[in-house]
Amino acid sequence: MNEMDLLTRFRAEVPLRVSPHAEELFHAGIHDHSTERPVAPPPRHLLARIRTPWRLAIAAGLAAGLAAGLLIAVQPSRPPRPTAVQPSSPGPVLTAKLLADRAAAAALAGPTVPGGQWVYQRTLFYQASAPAGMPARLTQGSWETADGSLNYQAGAWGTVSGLPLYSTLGSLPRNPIALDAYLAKLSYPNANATQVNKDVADFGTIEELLSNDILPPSLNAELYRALGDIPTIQAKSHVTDADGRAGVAFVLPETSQSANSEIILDASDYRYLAQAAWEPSNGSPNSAIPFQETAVLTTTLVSGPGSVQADSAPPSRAELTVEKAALALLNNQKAGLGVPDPSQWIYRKLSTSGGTRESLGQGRRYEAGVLRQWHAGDLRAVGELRQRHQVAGGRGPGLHVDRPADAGRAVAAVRSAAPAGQAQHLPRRLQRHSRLLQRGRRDREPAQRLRRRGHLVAHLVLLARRRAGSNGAEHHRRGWPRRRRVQLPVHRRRHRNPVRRPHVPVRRLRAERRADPAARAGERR
Amino acid sequence: MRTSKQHAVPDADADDATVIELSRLEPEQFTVLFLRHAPHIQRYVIRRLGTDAADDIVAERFLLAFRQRDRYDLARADARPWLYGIATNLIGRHWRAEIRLYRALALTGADPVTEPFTDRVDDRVSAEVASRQLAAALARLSAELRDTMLLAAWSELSYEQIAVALGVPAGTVRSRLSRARSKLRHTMGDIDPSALAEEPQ
Repeated sequence: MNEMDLLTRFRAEVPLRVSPHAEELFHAGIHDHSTERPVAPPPRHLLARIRTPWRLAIAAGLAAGLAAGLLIAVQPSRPPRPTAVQPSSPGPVLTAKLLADRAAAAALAGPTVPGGQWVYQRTLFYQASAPAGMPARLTQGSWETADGSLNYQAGAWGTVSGLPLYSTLGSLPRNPIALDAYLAKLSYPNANATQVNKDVADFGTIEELLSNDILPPSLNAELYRALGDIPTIQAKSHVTDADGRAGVAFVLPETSQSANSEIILDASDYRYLAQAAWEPSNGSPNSAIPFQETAVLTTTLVSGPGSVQADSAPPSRAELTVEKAALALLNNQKAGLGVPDPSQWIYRKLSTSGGTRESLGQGRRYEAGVLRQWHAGDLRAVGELRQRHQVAGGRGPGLHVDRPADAGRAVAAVRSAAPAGQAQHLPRRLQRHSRLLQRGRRDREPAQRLRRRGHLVAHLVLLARRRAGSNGAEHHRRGWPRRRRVQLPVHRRRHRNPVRRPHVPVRRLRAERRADPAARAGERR
Repeated sequence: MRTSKQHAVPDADADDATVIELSRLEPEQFTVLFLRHAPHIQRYVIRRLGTDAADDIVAERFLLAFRQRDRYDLARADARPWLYGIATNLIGRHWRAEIRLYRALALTGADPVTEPFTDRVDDRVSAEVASRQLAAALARLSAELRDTMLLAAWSELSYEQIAVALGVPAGTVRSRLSRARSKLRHTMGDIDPSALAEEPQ
């Protein structure tokens, strides 16, 4: 590797973004500047133009020129301070365009998510005047694939329809104006809609897309820009969402067609937070209470429905099947659990027509209405793991994988408890982890990674199934990386021998030897 | 007297010169330039000086650019050489801090610059030997060679643009680069990172 490559990779972990603090400093500076000198001096006034810049430029030039030298070494180096910075200074007036630009810049830095990835979202739904029997605040979790093709919420599977899917989103017009026109057309196919109607429709569609979907970063940015281009949109700083987080908002003012609605973004990193709609005021001043608001609390990439911890590996088909079965079972049982402490681990035993079933889950999962369940054979292992957890007082339903010996024992326990079932396809990344765990290597890395993912149990069960169900044929069919050395017949091994001999078919050779004992003797000698 | 509405709001595709021209009349237009280039510049500054100093420098750099916008040559559509030039000058004032960071990495193997961005403890403590050698070698380079070298490696500027940024002829950039590279290669070949402690300042 040459030194230039090395240098390019040196400190490459530093992310490509601008910190909120720097931005704040910059805006404060610009604001100060524009208030003290609202109109820039006309370019003809040479003195006014040159005075300050030259001084600074000379100072900067000196500093650079003498960087290795005397001046700074003698004087105490004083880090330059931006003038008159107050963290609370208001900055420039926030326009919708400016907010849109910032949000777009932030969105561009977001991750690109593959279409099959499951995404877990926790949302808070708030209603100022909830109907009787309904809570004013309702928190719920939902799972959806990034492409929107499959979702799961409150015990039901479904597919999303109506809105464009992730796969088609990539082909939307990228030019903000064209995108605006396209979005307006979705709701108003006829060209005779009024401008207000178009704006409202635009806003509604963008709001819907932003709140419901994981979007490709570039499209996300375009949507924000398109939002900034809607003429009637205003920006509002210092808003608070239903969860109490500080934000800035795009506001669609109340019209005859719609209520006053807002899209709230995080004040520091311009992440999407919430959408809110005020009650139509009917001429009276706006009430301070939103009529209803939907706030996104967390968005996490998870391995599958039912899982709430971050993991970017997509679920295998087998995992989905297990989940579906578990959910069906849950729906049948209508388990009457109270609302447990979210961090509390719960162990449950159910008698069903299919036999005894046990399950283990964290309170949060029960709250969301999802359990992970396993067949009786695996369950012993799960129970055992849980016991270990209690003894160790550790961090999860797993084991103390810091110690390779523990990991080895646990894997052995799971393996011995697993039923002979269908072999599961293990994600390739986990294959490596499991191999390392089995070897009981003193390698901390995979253990740490697994613990961070929090999927150890699911992983071990999968592992056990695979172990129990797989045989050589299975490996072969699955294409396991097993290299077998093929023993060639003698007469074809010639090229492996260091001494080259002319190729003679062995049958002929034997026949010749039988016919001519002298040649045989000669060869032997 | 304002210009027309279209002029007042620069297109997302407008080049930097247009934005700067607009910002002479309407200062807040300069924000567009900030949003467009600040992430790259900040990354460059952080890689040289760490997170602590970077916020101040980036903000100050853009404000300095903002005040100097009347002098900007509008014939140059791309403002990055200009911005990187200012950034490099400002970094020059912090050369002690920069060298201290290189030395810290060379001595301990833990890089204070990347520390906030790596979540894994293992990554933090086990910087490659190559990085340590590189840091030690960078600490020994002269300021002008280091500026040229790091602009070439970490910014997206061409040699001509680097020349504009540093205010030297393009030929000088090339010769400095080749000198810096050979020096790095030479120093990294026989350097022992742990021996740097006794090195006089």
